[in-house]
Amino acid sequence: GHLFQVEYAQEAVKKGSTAVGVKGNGVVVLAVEKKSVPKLQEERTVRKICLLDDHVVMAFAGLTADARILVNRARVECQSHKLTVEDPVTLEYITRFIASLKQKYTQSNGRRPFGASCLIAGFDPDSTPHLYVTDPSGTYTEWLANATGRSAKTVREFLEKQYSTDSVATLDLCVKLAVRALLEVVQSGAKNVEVAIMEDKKSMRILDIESLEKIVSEIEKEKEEEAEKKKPKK
Amino acid sequence: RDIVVRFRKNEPERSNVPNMTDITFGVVGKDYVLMASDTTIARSIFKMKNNQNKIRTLDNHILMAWNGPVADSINFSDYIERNLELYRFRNHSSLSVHAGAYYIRNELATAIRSRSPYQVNILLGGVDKNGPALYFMDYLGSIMKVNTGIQGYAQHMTYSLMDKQWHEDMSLEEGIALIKDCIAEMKKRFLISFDDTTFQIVDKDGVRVLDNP
Repeated sequence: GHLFQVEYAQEAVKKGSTAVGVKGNGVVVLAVEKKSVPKLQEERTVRKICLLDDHVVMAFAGLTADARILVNRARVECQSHKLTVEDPVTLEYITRFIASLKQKYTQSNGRRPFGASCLIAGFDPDSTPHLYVTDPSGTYTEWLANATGRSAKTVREFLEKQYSTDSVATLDLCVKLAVRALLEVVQSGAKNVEVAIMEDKKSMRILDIESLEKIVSEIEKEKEEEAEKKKPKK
Repeated sequence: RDIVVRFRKNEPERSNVPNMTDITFGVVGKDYVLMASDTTIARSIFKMKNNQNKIRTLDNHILMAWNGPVADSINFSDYIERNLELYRFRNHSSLSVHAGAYYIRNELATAIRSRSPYQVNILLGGVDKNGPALYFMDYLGSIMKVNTGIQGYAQHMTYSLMDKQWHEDMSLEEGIALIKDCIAEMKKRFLISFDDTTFQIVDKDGVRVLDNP
């Protein structure tokens, strides 16, 4: 059978700007497409990467307003959990919480499902990294690397080809893979990408524009070199 | 209410006045707030524990010393700590010391007018862009910004000492000496003995414990 409202919500996600997550060696990276803002708009009011707790970060694709509700509820739950059991949440717990919340809205009357798909990344208190993806239907799955939003399929296929333990062995390689995957579907340029880096026991870092530009130019160079190799030699 | 959940069962009846035997001092210096408290927890006639830290760190830049029964104090401190962190995640920046103090006061004032008041007196110290600040709060929800703060029975014995020795812009050494004098006075004249004290300081670099003041 079909639950049309859930499918419509998934369609809304497919229209949203792309978000990519890659789990590497001792690091999890989230990269999101930064839609170009109108000239008069303040750029920093569009926030697609949200910190849920010191060790959990979330990016989403889809309806921003819906995601805002989820982020708020998740933030309260992170603190409530710490209050009652004196332990920070595990990634699985908070993902399950968000997914259960989404599921409730697919089954009550008078409500519509959340039109947002979330990438939840971070490190558990025992230092294991995790990357989870939730879906408007309320399912959640764990991934080594995934994408949601516009052209997610293309990005995922790219990641399936390129992802290996070697290609994410260091932080820099992991960041490069995430950015490279995103640039498959996003207009090339450091100003169209925002990257968040999560390391164990460290606070989340948003990559500054200079480092990002360096990475993008490295990627461009690598792409050119690969294109050269593929050209038939006379 | 969209705040952090806390778990409260039916309260047993008890008197509203928190016990006064905890000793806590707070002093505003040049660019720091120094706080000290005893570390003893009593249970009827016994000293149950003598290394209890009664000065909580909130959000890495505020010190909150609690006085009163351990149950309410810990419950209240946990609740405040979690809500200040929630504020930080929601608003991408921490609450200022002044705002934090008034938030805590508001919680105490609401609680005293409810069926389940908290029995806890607070000394709150922090440093932000307005300089060092120390707030005295009690379980009824009163708040006073002070230069020298004392809680409990210690007030009867050391306020005059603080008045005599405190002056504006004290250096760290002077602040430590002042509190040490107060502690010596308590050891001499207070009926209830205590062994160790903990000294904690907050300045523009944040919070730290003074190991050998």
